[in-house]
Amino acid sequence: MNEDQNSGYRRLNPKARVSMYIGNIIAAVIWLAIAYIAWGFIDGMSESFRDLLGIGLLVLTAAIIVYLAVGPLVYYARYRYIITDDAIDIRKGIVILRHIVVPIERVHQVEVVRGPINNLFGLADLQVTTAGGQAEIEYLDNDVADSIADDLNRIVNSIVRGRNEDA
Amino acid sequence: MRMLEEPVRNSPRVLISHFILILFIMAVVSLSIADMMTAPLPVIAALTVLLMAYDVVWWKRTTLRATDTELIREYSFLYSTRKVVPYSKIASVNVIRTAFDRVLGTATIQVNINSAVNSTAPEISFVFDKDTADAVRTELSGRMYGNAHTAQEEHIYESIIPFTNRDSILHGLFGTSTWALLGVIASLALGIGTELIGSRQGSELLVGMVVLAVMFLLPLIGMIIKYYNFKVYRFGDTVYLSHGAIRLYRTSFKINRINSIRIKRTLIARMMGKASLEMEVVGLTSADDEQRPVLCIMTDMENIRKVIREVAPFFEFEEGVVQPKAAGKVWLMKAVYTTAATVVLASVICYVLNDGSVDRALLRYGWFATVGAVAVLSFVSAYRGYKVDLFGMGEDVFMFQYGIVDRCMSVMQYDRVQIAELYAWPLAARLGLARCQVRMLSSMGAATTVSGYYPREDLERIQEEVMARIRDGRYDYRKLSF
Repeated sequence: MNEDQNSGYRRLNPKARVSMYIGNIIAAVIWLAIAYIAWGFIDGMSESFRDLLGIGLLVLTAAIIVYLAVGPLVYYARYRYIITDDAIDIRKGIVILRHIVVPIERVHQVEVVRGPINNLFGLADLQVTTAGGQAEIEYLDNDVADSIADDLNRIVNSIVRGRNEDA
Repeated sequence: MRMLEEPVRNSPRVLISHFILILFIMAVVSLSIADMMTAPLPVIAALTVLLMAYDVVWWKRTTLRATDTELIREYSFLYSTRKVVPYSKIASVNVIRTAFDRVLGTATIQVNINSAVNSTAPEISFVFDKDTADAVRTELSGRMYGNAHTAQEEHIYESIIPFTNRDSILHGLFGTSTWALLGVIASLALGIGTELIGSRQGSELLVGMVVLAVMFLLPLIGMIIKYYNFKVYRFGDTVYLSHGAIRLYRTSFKINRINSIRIKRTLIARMMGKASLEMEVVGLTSADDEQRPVLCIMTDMENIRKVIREVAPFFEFEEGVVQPKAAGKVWLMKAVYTTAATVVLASVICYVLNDGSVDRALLRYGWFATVGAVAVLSFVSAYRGYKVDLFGMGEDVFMFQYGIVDRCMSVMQYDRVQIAELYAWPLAARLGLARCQVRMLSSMGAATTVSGYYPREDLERIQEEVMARIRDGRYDYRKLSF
C-alpha cells in the first residue's frame, strides 16, 4: 500500500501528515505568541522603526505560516525510504532535497523514539547512530519501526558476533 | 624481559605532581573562603591529608598489565574498574613529556583507540619513569605491530623529509587560518589607527595588542614549540612521529588507521608554494590540544608528495574534475542572493537612521560602501568557489578540493564513510546538480566534508561505491582497505 512498485521505496503512512500538522500548529501558535510579544515592543518605538519592523514581522510571520501549512504536504509527498540487507536509503526534503545512504555495517546503535504527538497516532521515529553521526527515518508506524529496529539490531549483532568469532 | 607481563603501577613520582596540585587547589580554596568561615584551616588541612591519602591508595591500587592479545588497566578501592583494550582496537600509542614530566623525570604513555566517544581522550593514560616509559612503548609496539625497536634505535632512523626548525616556525606562522590572521591584523590596525588619531589615549591600541597576543601570538608560539624538531618516518606498517621543544610528543600508529588525509594550503602558504599535511587518525588528538594531527608540517609541495608517497601511497591523488558550467549559475545566484539581502538590510538600516540624527551623506556613502564590499566579496567568492572545487574518484579513495581562501584537498577512503548524503537547493536540483556531504569519524569526533556542485549521478557513484565495496568483499574490517 505504501510501497512504490517500481523502485521498492516505501512511503509514509498518511497519518504522518496529521502528526506533522499538529506539530506545526503548535509551532505556529508558539510563533504567533512570540510575534505578539514582539509587536508589543515594536508598537512602542518611533514611527520609522515601527513601520519597518512591523512590516518585517508580518512578512516573516506570513512566510512561517505558509511554510508550516504547505511543508507537511511536500514533506509527505517526497519522503521515501528503503532498507535493504546492507543499507538504509532515505530521500526527503521540503526546500532542500536530501538523499541519505547509511551502510548498515556502520550502524552502532538503533533507537525507536516515540514523541507525544507521534504517540497519539501510533507513530515512531527510528534513529540510527554511526561513528560519523545520526540518521533518522521519521513517522513510521509503531510496528514497522519496531520491526525495522529488530531487523537492524539482528544484522548489527550478527556482524559483531562474526567479528568476535574471527578475533 | 617484558615489563608488562606482571602488573605494574604508575611511577611513584606521579604522587609528587598530584600532591602539588592538591596543595595548590586547597590553598586557593582556603584563601577564597577565608572571609566566610572563621576557622577553615583545620578543615582544609584534614581534607588535604584525606585527598593525599586517597591519592596514595589510588596509586597503590591502579595497575597496568599486558597479555598476548590485550592491555588491561585495573583499579579497586571503594569501586573497581577493569579496562581491557585489545591490541587490534588500539589506534595509537603516544609518549608525552610535559615540563612537569621533565622535572620529575617521568613520561606519560597514552593509549588511544578508534572510538567516536573517546576520540580526543586517551583510553589509558599511565605515568612511568622516563626510561621505563620508552621500554613500555617499545614493548607495546612489539606486541601490537611486531616491530619492537627502542627509543635509542629510533634516533637512528632519518625523517623522510629533513625538516628544519625554520619549517616549524613557518608552520606556526602561516599554518593558521588566513581569516583568523586577517582578523588579528585588522584589530591591530584599528588599535594603531585610533592611537594615531589620538582619540582615546591609545586604549584601543592596547586592546588590539592584547587581541593580537591572545588570538595569534600565543597559539603561534605554541605551534612553533609543539612542532619543533619535527620528524616523520615509516618502519614497516607503522608510522612514527616525534616533535616538540618543551612537551615532547612521540607517536606511533599503523598506516591502516589513517581514515583520510588533508593537504592544507593557506593563502600565504600558497603564495610561498608550500603546504602542510594533516591526517585523520582517531586517538591522535589530545583533549587539551583540539588540533588535527599533522603528518607533515609546512614544506614544499614536492616534499608533501614525497611524504604521501612513502607514508601513505594509497592516498596519492593527482587528478580531479572541475565543476560543470551549470554549477557556475548556482554559485552566481548565491552571490546575487547575498548581495540582494545586503541591499535590503542596508536600505532598512539607512531608512531607520534617516531621521536627522545621522548625516545623510554619511548614510549614502555607508550604504554604497557596505553593499559594494559585500557584492565584490560575494562575486569573487562565487567565482573562486566555482573555479577551486575539484572532485575525483579513485579505486580505494575519493577526493574533494574546496576552500576559497585557504585551500584544502581532502582524500578519503570509501571504507571509512559512515554516512553519505546528497543535497540540493531548488536551483541546483533543477539543473540536476547536488553537493555530497560525507560524514566520517575524525580525530576530533564526527566530521563532515562537503563537495562542490556536481551532477547528481556523479556524486551518487560515491554512495554506490561505498555499498559495492561492502557487498563484493573489497571492504574487510580486519584489513581496513590497505
